[in-house]
Amino acid sequence: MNRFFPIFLFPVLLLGAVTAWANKFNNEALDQEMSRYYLREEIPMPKDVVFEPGSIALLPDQRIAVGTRRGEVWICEGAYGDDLSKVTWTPYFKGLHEPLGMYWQDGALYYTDREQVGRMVDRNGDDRPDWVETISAPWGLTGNYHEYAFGTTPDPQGNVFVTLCLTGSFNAQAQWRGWVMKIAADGTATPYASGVRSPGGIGYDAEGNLYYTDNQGVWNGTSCLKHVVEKKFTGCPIGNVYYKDAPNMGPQPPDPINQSRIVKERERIPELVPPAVQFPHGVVGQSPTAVIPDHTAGKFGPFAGQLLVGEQTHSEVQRVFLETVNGVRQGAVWEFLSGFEAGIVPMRMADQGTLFIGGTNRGWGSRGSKPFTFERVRWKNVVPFETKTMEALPDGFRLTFTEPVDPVTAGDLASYQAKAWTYIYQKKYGSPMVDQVDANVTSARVAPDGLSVELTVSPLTKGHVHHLQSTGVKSKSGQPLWHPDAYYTLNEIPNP
Amino acid sequence: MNLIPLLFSALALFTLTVNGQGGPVLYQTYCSACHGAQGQGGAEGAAPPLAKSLWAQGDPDRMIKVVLHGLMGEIEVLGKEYNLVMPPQGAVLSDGQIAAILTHVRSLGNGGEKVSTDRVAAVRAKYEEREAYWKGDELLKDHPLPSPPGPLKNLVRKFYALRKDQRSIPDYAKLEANASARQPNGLINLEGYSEKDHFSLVWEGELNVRREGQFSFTLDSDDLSALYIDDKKVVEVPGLGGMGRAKTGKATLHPGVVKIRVEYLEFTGFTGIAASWSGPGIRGTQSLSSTKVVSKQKPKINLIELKPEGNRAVHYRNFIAGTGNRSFSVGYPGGVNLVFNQENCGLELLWHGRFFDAGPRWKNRGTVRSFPLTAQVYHLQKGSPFPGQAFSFKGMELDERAYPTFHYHVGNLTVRDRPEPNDKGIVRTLSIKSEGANELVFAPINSQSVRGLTLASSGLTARQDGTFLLPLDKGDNSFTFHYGIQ
Repeated sequence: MNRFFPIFLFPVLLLGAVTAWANKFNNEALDQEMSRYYLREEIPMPKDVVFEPGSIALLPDQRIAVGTRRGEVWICEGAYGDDLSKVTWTPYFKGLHEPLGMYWQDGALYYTDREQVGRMVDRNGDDRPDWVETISAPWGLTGNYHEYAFGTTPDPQGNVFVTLCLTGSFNAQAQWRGWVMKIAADGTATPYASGVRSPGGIGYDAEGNLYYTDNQGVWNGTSCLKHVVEKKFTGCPIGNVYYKDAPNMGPQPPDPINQSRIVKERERIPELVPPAVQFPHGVVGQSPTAVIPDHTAGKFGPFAGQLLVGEQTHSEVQRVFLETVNGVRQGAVWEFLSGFEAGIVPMRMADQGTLFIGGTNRGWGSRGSKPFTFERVRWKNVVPFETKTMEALPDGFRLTFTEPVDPVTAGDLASYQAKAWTYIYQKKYGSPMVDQVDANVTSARVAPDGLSVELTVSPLTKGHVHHLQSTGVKSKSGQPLWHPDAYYTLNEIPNP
Repeated sequence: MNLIPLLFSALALFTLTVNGQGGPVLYQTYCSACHGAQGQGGAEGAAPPLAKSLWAQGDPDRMIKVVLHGLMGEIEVLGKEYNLVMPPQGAVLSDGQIAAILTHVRSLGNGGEKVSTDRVAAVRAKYEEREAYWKGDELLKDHPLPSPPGPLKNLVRKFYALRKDQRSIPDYAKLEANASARQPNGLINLEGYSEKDHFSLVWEGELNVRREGQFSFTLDSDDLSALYIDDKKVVEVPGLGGMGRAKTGKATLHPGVVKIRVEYLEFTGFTGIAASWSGPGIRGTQSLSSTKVVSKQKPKINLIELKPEGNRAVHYRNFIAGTGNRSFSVGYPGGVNLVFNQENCGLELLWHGRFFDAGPRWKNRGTVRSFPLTAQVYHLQKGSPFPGQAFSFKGMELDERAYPTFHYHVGNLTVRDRPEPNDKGIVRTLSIKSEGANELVFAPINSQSVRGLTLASSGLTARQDGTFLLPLDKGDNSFTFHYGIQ
């Protein structure tokens, strides 16, 4: 045997060991850090039930309805309580078709499942519905497993928005696959926006703007949060064959040119709304799901008004800051909560500041290794040192922080690293990071109150994801940032 | 020992890890969520294991293609069937990243042979235009799975051409072998002969028995075969016929090497032979042939049977074979079941017996339609029972036993449709509210496959074409139909 063999082998073994250790250490360290600010708890689920939550509705009297992928709806009591061992579950209805949107209104439980928007009413008070109504079922189905439908809560006018996955996630054989439909309270269905590929959730921001998450795939270089604007196109042209049935939408926009860039195609296709925030694949999750605002005005920590986005594969929750620049929604994403027991699909934030999440692993793997989970997260009233917001400036970015920064480190250019890239806009599945730009932070001006920093970043590249790493920045008390990496999608550069 | 290469390697390793370019790191990022941190498989059984898998061994192009262009459909990995969608990664990962990931996968009990960046680049260039996912059999045709050497040592296969009237195992003492060849793969196989008729093959070799005890030998063939251990017949498949006639015999063996002899005769048509053994010291069943013995009845591992709970009906809404994609299924206590198709307001399927297997929908991603758990299902309708009318489904009322009454509109009529099970089938009551005097054509059966079904109405007679003309007065009208299926 070659006597050098062991020497050759050693680094390979070491590499494996160190990698495993580094991953484990990194994840555990993050979870440990999180536990200083947020308390994550598993809520006991009904015994001997394959639970697989797909939707959550918050009911009066702190009751919660959970719809499962097997089409069951269960009512939970005690999920807000201090002693979770007292949680009880009552079966409400079994016989929906994978509901992925649910809410409670005026004594009825409304749902969006694969087949319809409907509602269930318990008129005789026996805690089971005696009336199951189909409100609207305007979209087509071929029976393909990918034909998911995610529905919102109602907007102020009572409309529900449904985002419809492509058949098999890559064709539009059935009507309205690849569209967002508006369903009015009376059941009237109107095509609202085109360009959907494979959504994971849909919801509003705190101001009522509508978004859905779309997963990396054809015509979607990386997973992203897409802003849904009436009569506009969000990027994947496969469902656009149905413009012929959507006179309210206007003429069908031209198809994007294969292997182009979104920023370029926006010039050709005025209807194209760029993704508000792109989530770099594998870096900030890889299967985004639920979209909910933190509407609790501080009960869930210092991020009031921001968006929380669920993540299936990495079993995480990301945090998103959004702003409007030149009429286009855009903003930044940070990793936020992690360590959940399964892949997150539905989320709901209760008024009193408890985040409820449901997770399932079936069919699509996740870091959290349990087949399904139901959990809650509450803030411990300890403010983490984080970048709170990241706004675009004509020549850089303005960061605000959750607590005052140490002016020395925050004013030191060496505390920051910036780079930018984009993705190929193409009919192939996903995209590598391309057109990389090394940006430089050339000045850092710390505000007198220490709560914000203005960075000059050169160059800024329109259409690129700008990755800003603020590893060197310390708080006044000497803490580093919990999550130093921010990813800002610069669809538009503000005018000076 | 010189420490410099070691230090250098450690340094290189550190750089790799920090930059996130090492195979293990890339694997953890892009693959482990589904395939498991150690390649053990995951995603609740949707993603197959990569560790110790023949799919990850041998010709590297097989794996390169899967990663570049994706894989869709049915494959078998480590004896388990998967119906999967592996998304293509070619547009996301570079040649170097793919090579690093696959090299890491190769290190997970797959021989450890490196996959080079050049090899990935070559496959990518060759299939540059390809957009379709690969299918499993398409890949295996070009890149067969490597077969590990079988357990038969010093195996020799002899070939005998036979007369066309030879229908039983011949007397080999009177025959001269036409060919004889060593079989280094250690498995009984028909390679080179599977297209021929009228011949016999005899395999002779050795089998290593590790522990004392009783062993089972299973044999299946098209046509005849017999298996001998130390010249004693243990099992035979007699008579002409196809595969699927597996027989099992037992033998008590002592540790050491035993002689094994298998005789096989092919008359005409299809060919096949499969043999396996199990017993002390063997994990499960070990195949002695390149074709695996398939047990006749495949166990239904996915069965999730839905049943009524006590006096309450069971409901099931999913994609079901033989009906539309918005169908509500009801299983009543007592064994009557029906499927109501919401898309055409038709009572489409009716049967007595077991309700549904939800396994095809509730396991993995749910790629297969659900089917009733009974062979005798009456398909009553194709299309709407109200020909020429516009209809819209409204909803359903559920009573305290969860029995539904379906509500829908036909033209400007409001219909309540209530099936009630009894010991013969169902009694179906249509309550129709009309704004004025009217009539409605009702076609409760418009399908051919309803042999054995009886349908009668109280007060109405079916017309020649099987439809009923329902006379309507202003206000509420009620009609009753008896479906007999016993």
